Amino acid sequence: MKRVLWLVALAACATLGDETAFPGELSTTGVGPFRSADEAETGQPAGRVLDAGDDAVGRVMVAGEFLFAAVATPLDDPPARDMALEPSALDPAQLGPLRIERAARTAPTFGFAGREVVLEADRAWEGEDLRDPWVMVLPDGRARLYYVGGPGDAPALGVAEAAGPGGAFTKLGDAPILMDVRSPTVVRAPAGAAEPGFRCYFERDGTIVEARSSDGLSFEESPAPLALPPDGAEPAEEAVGQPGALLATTPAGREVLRLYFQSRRADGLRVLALAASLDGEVFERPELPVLELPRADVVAHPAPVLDDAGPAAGITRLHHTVRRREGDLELREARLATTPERLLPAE
Amino acid sequence: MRALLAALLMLVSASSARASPPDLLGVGPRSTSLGGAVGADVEDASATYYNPAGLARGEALRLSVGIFHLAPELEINGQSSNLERLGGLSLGLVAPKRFRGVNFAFGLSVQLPHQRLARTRSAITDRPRWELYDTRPHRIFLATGAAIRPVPWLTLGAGLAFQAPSTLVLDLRGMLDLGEPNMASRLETQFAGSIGATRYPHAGVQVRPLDELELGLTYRGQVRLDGRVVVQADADVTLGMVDLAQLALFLDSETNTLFGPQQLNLGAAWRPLPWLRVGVDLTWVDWSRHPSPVAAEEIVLTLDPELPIVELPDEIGARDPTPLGLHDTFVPRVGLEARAVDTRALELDVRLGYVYENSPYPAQTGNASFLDADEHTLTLGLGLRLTDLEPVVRGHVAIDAYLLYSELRQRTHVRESLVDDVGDLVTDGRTWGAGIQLSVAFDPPEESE
Repeated sequence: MKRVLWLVALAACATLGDETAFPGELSTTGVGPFRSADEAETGQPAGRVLDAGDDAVGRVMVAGEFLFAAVATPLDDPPARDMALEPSALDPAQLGPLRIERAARTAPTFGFAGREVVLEADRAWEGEDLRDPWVMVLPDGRARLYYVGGPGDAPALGVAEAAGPGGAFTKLGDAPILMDVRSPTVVRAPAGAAEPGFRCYFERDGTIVEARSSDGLSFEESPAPLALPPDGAEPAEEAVGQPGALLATTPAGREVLRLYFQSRRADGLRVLALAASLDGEVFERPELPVLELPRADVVAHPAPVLDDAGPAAGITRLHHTVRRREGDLELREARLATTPERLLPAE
Repeated sequence: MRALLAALLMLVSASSARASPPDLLGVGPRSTSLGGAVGADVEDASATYYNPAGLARGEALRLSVGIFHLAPELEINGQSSNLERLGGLSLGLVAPKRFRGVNFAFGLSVQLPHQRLARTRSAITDRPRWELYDTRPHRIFLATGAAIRPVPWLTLGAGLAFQAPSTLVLDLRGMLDLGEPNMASRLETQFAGSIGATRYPHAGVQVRPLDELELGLTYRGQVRLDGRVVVQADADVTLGMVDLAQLALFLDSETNTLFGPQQLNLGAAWRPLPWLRVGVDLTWVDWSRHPSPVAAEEIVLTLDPELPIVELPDEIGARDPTPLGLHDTFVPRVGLEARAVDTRALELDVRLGYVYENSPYPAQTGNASFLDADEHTLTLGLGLRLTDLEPVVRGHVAIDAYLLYSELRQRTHVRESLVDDVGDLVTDGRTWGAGIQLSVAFDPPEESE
């Protein structure tokens, strides 16, 4: 009997458990709140995704294992800055021609390095600059690089194609595929859309305009700007622009088009906002912006990407630029608030 | 009889019945391995929970000690919810007495978790949480019962289970110097806490209309535990010798930390063959009365007079709880017990149980994220009884063990809003459990019979 009692006592001790923390929070939708990635995560100073500094202009976006950005060719002897410009604005006169560059991911971080030129202006309509790259990967693995060329007052949309995001891009056609386009983003139409195919959203006159295409090469503009409901934040939104689209499938299997964009508030602040839709026509917005950074006047050019593998699977990363009063341009990444341990790949 | 009347009077004064830990863990290896379908004929210490009337069925003094373990493996969107495993020690006592031809009995059952006596936290409405697994089972369970068997075909019993609500008060007052906050401030704090006791009743009846058929009816009362935290701060804000303002903070947070719905269980046990027992129970569970686990909060922060350098928010998050919208459930249970070995010195029973619990929680389509799913539970158990132990033990020694497996059906929660910050959820999971118990039964002396 005593032996049996001892056995039970020993077994009882063997089940003593460690106290664990309460389960952590779970964020999945991309609505936010987002936080800035830190230096350990990106492997770049101050948590930047690419240490391109003042050379990069406009959108920075990620496709596959590559980051794409428009980078200015440094001038040997730049002229003095136009002091009439706002402190946070770029002075185009100080920049050389813009071209699309690509950098590879520096595993195991979420930063990028090793820049190389993938596209330069060589068509008549393109002028000297190519900017605002947007890469869409097709189901067969091919990558289409949409870009804006032409003078600042007459921007137009061009497209190039490669076997993959890391391949050599070849321009398709000699003419632009859409006129008067700023900050374009192209995405496959969500499953709930009335017309299948592709959607291009771009900025025009402080609004976002939609264009539709069956092949992603020939687009037809919608007659009216996208009807985005207002959010609940103060001060009021005066204009929107710089859209970045993401087609996400929820855990329940619903395909949701998430359109991130810059929201321009009445007090001059530039923050990032979100609108979501099942059909690409009726959009819903959260009450608050998704990213608003302290000490930053302008948060711009949101380019979302959804991790679909590894420990960060299902996490929305929102690449963007930040321009502070000091004038430095930062290419940054923000992600949903969650612990860094869950995001970094295992060593 | 007086003892029973006293017990019934205590029930009337009890504050409110389903003790939640046993609902998930089960009580006692035999009852658990039969899926809890024992309301008609339970007679060990687990009767304090399943049907107190069963305590008076036997005439042997029974002592039991055991261990149990439960490992929930639940997932949200394919990611582990990291729920804590639960293990503990179980103790049981059944003390019968025969007086003037009538059986009386007292019973006691305790489940003592290894990690802590209780764990609780209020819920945040939109944060996904397995409501029935998060903190609910992490509590001590203590139940007592008394029973009487006036005639051989009828037993009556009642009992009480205990839980402990808490109130915590933090009082902070004194003087806060803005110029030298570390050196010149004089602040004192006082912490006061009280852990009370809540009793809730169990009662039951067992009848035997036929030799091979027994019926049981059990009522388990409702238990509701509320936790309350009060923080009050009152400080003079100064700068050197100058009084600037009076800073006052009052926070009152009251939350339901545990709710066990009242239940009514109807059970039947049939012995079609001498070696086979079939038990079927059906439990009505009154989940619709479940209060919100979200804390009701009142927060007031004032600065009098207001200082130009300090801007206080108009509202700091006072909120009202969100209704849960639960519905009542009916839980069927089936238990089979077969005597595999039956000799003078040794008996071996093999047990099998099944429980289906449909979730009382609706799909979480709004901004709440209280997760639960329909659950199929399968149990397997063995009971070994050594009966030829005289003169060491006049009675028997039993070792009972069980394995438990629960499968939660995959459930999809589709949100009404596309910009909900939690979004659509798919939940899945399973739970493993096991337990073993050693019990000794001392038969009454010949002269007392």
